[in-house]
Amino acid sequence: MKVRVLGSNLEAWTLAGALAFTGCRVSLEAAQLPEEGSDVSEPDLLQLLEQQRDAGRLQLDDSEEAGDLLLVACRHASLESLQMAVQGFVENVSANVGAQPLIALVQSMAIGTTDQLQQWLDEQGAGHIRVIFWPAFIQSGRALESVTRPERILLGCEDERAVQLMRRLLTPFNRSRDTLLVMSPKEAELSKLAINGMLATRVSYMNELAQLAADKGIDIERVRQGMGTDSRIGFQYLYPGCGFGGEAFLETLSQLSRELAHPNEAGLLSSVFAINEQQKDLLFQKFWRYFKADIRGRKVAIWGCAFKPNTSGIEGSPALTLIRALLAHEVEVHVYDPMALSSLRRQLGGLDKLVFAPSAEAAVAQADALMLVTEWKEFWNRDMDDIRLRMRTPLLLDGRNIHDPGHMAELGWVYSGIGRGVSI
Amino acid sequence: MKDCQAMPSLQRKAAGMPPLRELFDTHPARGTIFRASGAGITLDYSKQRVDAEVLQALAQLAEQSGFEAERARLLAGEAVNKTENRAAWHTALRVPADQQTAAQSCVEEQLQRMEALVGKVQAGVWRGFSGKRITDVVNLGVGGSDLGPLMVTHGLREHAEPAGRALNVHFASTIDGSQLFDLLDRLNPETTLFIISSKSFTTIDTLSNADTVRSWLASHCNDETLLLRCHFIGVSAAQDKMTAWGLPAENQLYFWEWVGGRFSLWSTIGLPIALALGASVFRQLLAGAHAMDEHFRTAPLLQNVPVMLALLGVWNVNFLDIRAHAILPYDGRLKYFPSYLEQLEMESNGKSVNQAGEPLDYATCPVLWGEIGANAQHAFYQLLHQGTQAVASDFILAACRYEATAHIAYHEQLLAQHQLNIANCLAQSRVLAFGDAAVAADDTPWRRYPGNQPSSTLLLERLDPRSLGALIAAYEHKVFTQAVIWGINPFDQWGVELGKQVALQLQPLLNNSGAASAAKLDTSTRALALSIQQQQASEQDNGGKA
Repeated sequence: MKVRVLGSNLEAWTLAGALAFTGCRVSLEAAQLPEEGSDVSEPDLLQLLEQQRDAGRLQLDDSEEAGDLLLVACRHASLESLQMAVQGFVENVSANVGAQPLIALVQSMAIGTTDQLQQWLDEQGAGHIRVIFWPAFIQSGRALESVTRPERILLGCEDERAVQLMRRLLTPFNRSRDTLLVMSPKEAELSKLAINGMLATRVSYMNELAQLAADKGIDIERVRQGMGTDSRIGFQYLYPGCGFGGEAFLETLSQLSRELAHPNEAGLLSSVFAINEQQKDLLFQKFWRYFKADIRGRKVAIWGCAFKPNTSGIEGSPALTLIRALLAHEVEVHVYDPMALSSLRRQLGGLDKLVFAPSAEAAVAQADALMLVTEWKEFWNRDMDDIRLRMRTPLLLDGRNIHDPGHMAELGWVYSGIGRGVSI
Repeated sequence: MKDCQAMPSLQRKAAGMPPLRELFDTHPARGTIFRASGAGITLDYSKQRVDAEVLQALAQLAEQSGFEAERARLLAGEAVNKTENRAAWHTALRVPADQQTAAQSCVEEQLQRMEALVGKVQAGVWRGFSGKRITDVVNLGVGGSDLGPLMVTHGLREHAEPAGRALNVHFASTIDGSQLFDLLDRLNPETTLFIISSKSFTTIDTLSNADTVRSWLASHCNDETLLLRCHFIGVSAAQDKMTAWGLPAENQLYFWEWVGGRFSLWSTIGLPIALALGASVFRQLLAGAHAMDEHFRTAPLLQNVPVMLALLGVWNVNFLDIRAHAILPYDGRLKYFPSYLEQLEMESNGKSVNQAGEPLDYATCPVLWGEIGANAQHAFYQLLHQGTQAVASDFILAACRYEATAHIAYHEQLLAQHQLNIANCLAQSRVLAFGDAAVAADDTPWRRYPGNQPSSTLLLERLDPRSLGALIAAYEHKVFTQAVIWGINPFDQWGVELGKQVALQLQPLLNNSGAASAAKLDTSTRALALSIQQQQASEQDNGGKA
């Protein structure tokens, strides 16, 4: 199958690589493969992309060669811009008599977009091209795996032939058990939004509970385990923390938020957002309270600025909120992150009093607080005794609850997590 | 005023002045001629009981009163407030930064400090004691530290920048704490910032409110230094008193002795305006006022909007014997404009001795009150139309409205309401002027409308920061111009002092049973004090039993 991919984000590269791997001829509009250190660089993915390019199945060019499937992986703010984007494919494909060309939308968009694009094609006399909604459930950090070993494949499509085609195309990823779920495009669009909304809601709920736990001197970690053992709830997405981020996740959430918008009623999701914003600011507030607002001229170390481990993405990361708040109060900020520093430099580079530290140890030298923002594996078993000795004030604000409060206290830290440790 | 050469002819003209109906009959074009405009404001005074001769004589009256020299002294920042020996230099507050003289550069300095502070609060950089961002601001102030900011904030809410809109700005002024009682019940102490606005920083109304707030905050956070630093901003001309109250220097904004309280919204007293609407909106307000200052300084007397407002006021009070003046904005956004003007005009010109301290034998400021016009139609217009009082009125109206909301579903309906509102405004000034001659007359006595009540109409193209700035400045200069003609000092307010002193004397008597009966008081006050003490005592007993 000849596949054309629009976009150069993580979804585009991952789908392009995975489909080329199964033998498709994939073309993608880009001059070169993603560079190491870029937002989409995940080691196994980069490796795969190189292999596929060398094998000739992945072509990087801007040719509008006729194709069988167009994957729209870039985001479009409006139907009009989406129409513009698929125009070239539509023109080239129309000569290809007898084929069943498909356009698959993989980003969540306003509910009804898939149908509207189909209707537009019908009106253009291009009704033989079928539009389907195939939401990508791609998680940064394990992008390739999310495509090749999917939990489920959602297809929003009411055309039997198109479904058959997609089913065939995705067979390599759908072998051990059939996870393909077919529904109407609108149902699939809402399903995609609803899943992310639910996840966000669980996290914000846990964060609200964590605040209560902190006020009452309860360890939220115990409570989390107590809740997770209930099979109706389960353990997933029950971690309180200093706020969730990620471009795709936040984008989907704001999409859902727009769909749910009741102008004069605060819905559940607006509280979910509000709690998340408060969480992103929480470590700053603890720092403020600990020093009784006397923070100007102090120094803070931040460990991790990626919105989650194994990614260089910083979109919506709590680190951004914290850095801005700290700098606004003339606090010197030293940030260390194993992967995302270059993204941070692109966004905040050149700011006075913001230092990009070469190592976790370098970041904490003479610091008045250590804020742990991303739970990179390399932070879990650091020699925290040694780290504490490098600090000016042994204040550890653990935004991901990766340390044991009792142990940290023994080591001499003033340890405050999210809903556990010292209540600050 | 009495000695001016123009007086006899004005008195003669007043005695023989025909009713408005006749004035329009003999001079049908007066509606297009009797108007003045400046700084975006058009003043129609054709429904005032004047003719060309009267206007000339009024202009002479102003000239003979030394108006032009006094105006120059006002604008130059000379000590026009003689009883307090200081300037009333509110015009300096609105001079654009690039035109400020060395003496005025302090204005821009404080304005920039204020803007920096506004930026911090709006951007969420300013934090409460627990480190949370500020969501609510309460302005504690009374008189000039309340009415101006309240009026402007309410009037221009539609023009608020997004950053300002996200902030809830409240006002608490009353000495009894009622507004605070309501506010503190629903505000979050962690996220509320209080502005203490008082020129002298001794105003008991404001400081008693501030003390209540301080004890409210202290019940949530026991670190007083932190509270003072995170939850209070002081705005005053008395730095030392702010410091003594406990405000750190960074939390203090200043203005100067030469800014009168009721002329102070242009100074850092405007902080709540800038917080609620945005610093750039505040700058536009200043620019509008400055445009009016320039108009006032340069336009010939009879084409000068504030001067004309003043002359017509003098004519009505001193020659037509009209002692009441209604302010009738046909615009819900100007809800607080009448109460603002009540202070501006009556506190300034409610005087009965001249600059030399000699008693006057003529009237000065009329009783002035008002209400949103269309609402007042259902309240006191009956008196205007058929009562026994002569009343002069100012109608205030914006021609364009709802332009920015063309996208909303009920836009057409809103526009229709605006047109209906305009029709009502024009209808009322017309009926006041012409009475039932405006329509076919009815013979039933209670349906008769005598008319001949004079009015002016102030027309704005639209109500926005610039035009509101210009409108307020026009009334400020009107007040000054009238004061010059009446020979009084508009910038002091000695009449409000005695009551404060007596209240201070009475306060301990009320707290101490027995003291009230022993004190040397008039029998009325003593009887009232005793009754209050008895009722409070029985309330305490009841409370104790419950």
